[in-house]
Amino acid sequence: MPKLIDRQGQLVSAPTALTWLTLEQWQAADATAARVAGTPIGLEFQPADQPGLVAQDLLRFAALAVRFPKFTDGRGLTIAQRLRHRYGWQGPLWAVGEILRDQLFAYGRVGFDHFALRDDEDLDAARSALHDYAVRYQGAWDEPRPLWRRVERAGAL
Amino acid sequence: MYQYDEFDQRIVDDRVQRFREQTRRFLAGELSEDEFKPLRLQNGLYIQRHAPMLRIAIPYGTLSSQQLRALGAIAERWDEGWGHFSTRQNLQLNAPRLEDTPDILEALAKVQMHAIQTSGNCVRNVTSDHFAGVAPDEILDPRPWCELLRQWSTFHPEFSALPRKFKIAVTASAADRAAVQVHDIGLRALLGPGGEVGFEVWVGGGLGRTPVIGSRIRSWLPAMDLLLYVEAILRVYNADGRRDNPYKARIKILLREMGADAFTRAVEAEFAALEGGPGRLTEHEIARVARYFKAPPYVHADEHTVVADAQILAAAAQAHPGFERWLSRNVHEHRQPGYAAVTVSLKRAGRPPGDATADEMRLVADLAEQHGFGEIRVSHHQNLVLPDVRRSALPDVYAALKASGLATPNIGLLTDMIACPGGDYCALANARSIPVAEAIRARFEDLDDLFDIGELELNISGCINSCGHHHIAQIGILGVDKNGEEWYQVTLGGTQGPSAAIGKVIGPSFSAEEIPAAVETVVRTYVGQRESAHERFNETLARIGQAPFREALYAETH
Repeated sequence: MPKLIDRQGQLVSAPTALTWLTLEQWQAADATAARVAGTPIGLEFQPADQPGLVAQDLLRFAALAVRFPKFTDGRGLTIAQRLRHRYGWQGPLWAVGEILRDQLFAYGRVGFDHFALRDDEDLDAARSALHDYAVRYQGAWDEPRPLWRRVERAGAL
Repeated sequence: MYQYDEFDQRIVDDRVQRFREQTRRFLAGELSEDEFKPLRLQNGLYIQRHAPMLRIAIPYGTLSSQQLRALGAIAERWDEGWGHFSTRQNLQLNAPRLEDTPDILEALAKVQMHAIQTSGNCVRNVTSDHFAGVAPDEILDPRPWCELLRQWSTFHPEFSALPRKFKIAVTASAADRAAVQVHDIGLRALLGPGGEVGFEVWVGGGLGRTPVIGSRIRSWLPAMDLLLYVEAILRVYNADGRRDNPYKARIKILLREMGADAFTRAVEAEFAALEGGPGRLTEHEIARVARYFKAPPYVHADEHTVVADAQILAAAAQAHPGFERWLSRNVHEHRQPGYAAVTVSLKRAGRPPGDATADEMRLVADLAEQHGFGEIRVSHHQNLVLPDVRRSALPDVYAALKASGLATPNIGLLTDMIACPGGDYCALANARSIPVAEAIRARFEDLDDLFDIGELELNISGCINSCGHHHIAQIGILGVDKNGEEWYQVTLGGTQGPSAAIGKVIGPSFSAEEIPAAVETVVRTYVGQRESAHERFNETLARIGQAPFREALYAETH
């Protein structure tokens, strides 16, 4: 099991009852079967998935996840932004796959609140990486206001 | 010019610390090559043919004297004592050691500079008109908008792993000296009927393997919405841009495959979801940033001053043969009466275009303080600009530059060519650019000849990535590899500016030995065929077509 941390860097245990389905599985499978089984469902997006396809169904999931097969593929960042901003997802949003400390700050900003670290990633280093930068210029999910709406900046004399 | 406040400083300082630690992990074997690569690239560090290359950001090409001196000092301490000013208004050091780069970045941070996002698949340094703020033909100073974009794009979390690099250019002049139509996003500032500011938005232009002029997807964007609209464009690109093939990953390919209409609809839908949100600019924020760019304390020039200035220049022309030519080519109109902008030519015999030594950087920094307000510009033509020279001081500036070989009177002429570093330095190049540039320059060394030929743009790229902008030069030269040998393809008819056009290939390529003569043949054909000395190359080409050039070229050399 990969180490799972939350936005505060706390180690959290994955809910055992959660059944993860990919978007494809969700669309293909008999969704009722999973509901009948009584277990909460988590939906996992792949980089090419369009979250708008399930925008109306989001409340049926206990958690959402976005997979990063490679950390260099940033499509999952826009999926997270759309889930949070455009489709109003308030529940847990996991980043899964090749999750490395050097990208955690950006992941946390766009809307992820659970990070399933790659097995070899150092836990303490990853915790501190969530706070890599003290200053954020632009608004995002973690802080929707740009810097200039949050603080009085000096300006030229 | 812009000055960091504590927030800007904190960001670059934090970045230095992060990169120091990442470099340490890489050198200790804790970070793999693949994992380190995007990190170092977004700090401007390439691994090159002979050594790493560090690309330092010069936001929209504006530098202070203090910063230019610091660049010289860095080049001396950690490199070979010189740097290369690039077509993206940045500075490249060609031989730093990887383990020194954290110290270099720390030295840069001390003078409010960095190498953030100068490479990698992210939003790059925003470029602009090198005469921004002093050009008589601009409707406003584009630099505050560039700075707003710089801050917005710096560490933008959602756009930190784009399909490919992303370049934004801003102009506020109808003459468009920033080539906005060949950028991923090109912005041209406009004034509405009530004096309100807006932008014309061009998307999907670019050079490289698939040269294309951008599509105008908005003819009027209210300036307050600038950041939101750019965000919407990048969101569509990040989600749907191709990632299966790096050669098809730029936004121009997405736009082409979707079609401009469908692409525009997708952007407008994303924009609609953002409209009115907290990212919308405020008058307060725009005014705050604009204050950094307010006009310096110019000395008012009355009628007497204008007459006196003219007398000084006339006397200098008498005393120094050469001064008048320099005045005609390297000195530019200024919006403030009594002032001029001066181009320091980095195109001279025996030196690669755009290169400057630490001593030369210091000289230009000093001149900018003595004859200006301590500000320097880098042009995408790979020259430096002193933006605020009193006209009466032009003879002194000329003398100082001439003594250091920086007064070649060739701005806008054939030998003011753009050339990438090419195969001598760059790992991507198929062929060398610098020796070809030098061989061509040597053929047009005679100033009478050069002036007779008149304004002519010649650009050289060492490979299809087109850093030398060969596609939009009247005469473009592209280095290609044929069975391990360097060959050069010639394109004619490219155009920069508001009616940008991509040049067309004239025929089979030339060997390194043949190419200087081939260029000379093209130039002599043009001069021989033009109807008057005022007919520019592209006008002649449009009138007579490619055939006379092709006949002259291939009858002679094949």
